Amino acid sequence: MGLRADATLTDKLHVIAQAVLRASDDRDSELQWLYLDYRPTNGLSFKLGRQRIPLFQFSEAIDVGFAYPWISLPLVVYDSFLFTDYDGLLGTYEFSTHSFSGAIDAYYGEFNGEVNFTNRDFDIEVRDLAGITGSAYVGQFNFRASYHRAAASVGLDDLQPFAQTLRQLGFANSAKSIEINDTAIIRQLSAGWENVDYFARIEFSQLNSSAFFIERTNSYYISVGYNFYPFVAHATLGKSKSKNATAPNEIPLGIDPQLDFLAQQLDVVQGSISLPDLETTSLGLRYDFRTNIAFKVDLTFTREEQFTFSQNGERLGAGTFSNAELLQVGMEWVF
Amino acid sequence: MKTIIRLFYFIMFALWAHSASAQTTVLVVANIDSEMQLTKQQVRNLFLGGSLPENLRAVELSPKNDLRVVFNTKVVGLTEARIQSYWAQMRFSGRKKPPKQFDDKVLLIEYVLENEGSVCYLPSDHPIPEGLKVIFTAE
Repeated sequence: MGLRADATLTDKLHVIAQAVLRASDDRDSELQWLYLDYRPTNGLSFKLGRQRIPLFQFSEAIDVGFAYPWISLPLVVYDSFLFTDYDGLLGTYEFSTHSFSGAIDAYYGEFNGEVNFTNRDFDIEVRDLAGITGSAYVGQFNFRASYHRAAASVGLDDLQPFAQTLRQLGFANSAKSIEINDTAIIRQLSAGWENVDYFARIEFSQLNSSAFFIERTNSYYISVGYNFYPFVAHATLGKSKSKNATAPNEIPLGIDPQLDFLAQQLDVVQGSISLPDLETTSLGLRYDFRTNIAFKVDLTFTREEQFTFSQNGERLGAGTFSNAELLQVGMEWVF
Repeated sequence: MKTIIRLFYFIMFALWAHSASAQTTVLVVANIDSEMQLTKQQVRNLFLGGSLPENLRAVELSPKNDLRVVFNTKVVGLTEARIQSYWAQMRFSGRKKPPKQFDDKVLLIEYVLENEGSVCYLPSDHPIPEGLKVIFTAE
């Protein structure tokens, strides 16, 4: 459950706080946002404090299921990042002409905290987080493009002793390959069209990082829907494909059985932190029972393909498939 | 048989209602001093919380009002459900707030007359209150 408080200090200055209360054991309740909102003119605004990163089309409303047709945002794009909030400054300039309107956002900040990834908590430190987004609305079409960069280090505590051993033996690059202390760049493009009867939306994201296990990830989803008030039916296809970089190959083989064992362990660890390819297909129905209450049902088919990689980053043979079906039922209530 | 007859009446009513809404002309009026004409894109942007250089502020009728449905269909081009989900996204992301809403047309007009720069919509058969100017007509 999300709770939001908005205090007006003057006509142009507000304080906004938002907390999310969670019943799940996996994720804690937290004060998500606390920022000053200053709007000096009609089209110009600034936010200073802890706030959400405007990464993708729905990133800022990721916990507000009422805002989108799905129960969960398409996994292929929206599960590809580790953190959602930052401490910093966001400036927004909105403009309009006779034929279109648009907005430009620019932000800069940092984030220190804990993130949950694959149901485990990690300490994360993000420095020099910056980004720019541009949005345009032309008739029933909307477009968005954005660019974000950050330097992040993630504390993978259970791998630290192994990385330390590698470093002590002089295999610094191998140690680095199982740590996350890298620069990441995310590019995003989306386009949508909607009218009273139909909608279509496509969103593409590309993540490039200097981390060995995720040199590049391309993800996209395409969604189409039909409105027959008070129902909305939708179908969504999503794909995500990752590429590993060349793994450092510093440990000499055949000299010492202990070194052979170490090399073997490194292979296992490097293989275990590679990201799988993902394909999702989901069908869903949303029923707007009241203007602030919606019921949803989504059926999602997921196909995951996990590869093993050679030392030079090439995929070794066919991947290992795993398929899953997920039926979700939800109720969204805003008040 | 009764069910079929009910269904027939329901379809006829739906067609009539759809045709009636298609025929209603909506006027967008503003409390401003000088003459001004906006495009459909600008009016849509205004009622979706976007900024206009003219410093206008939209106010509108509450959901379920027939005129609001006609306006949303003809000008905004979205269903009420989609508009509500749009405002959920805007409000909870701290981007924009929905226009002030009134249950009653009389109260809506009173508010616009008292607040310079306010903009609302009216049916074309409604007399234009003195002091308000038509800035857009949706046929």
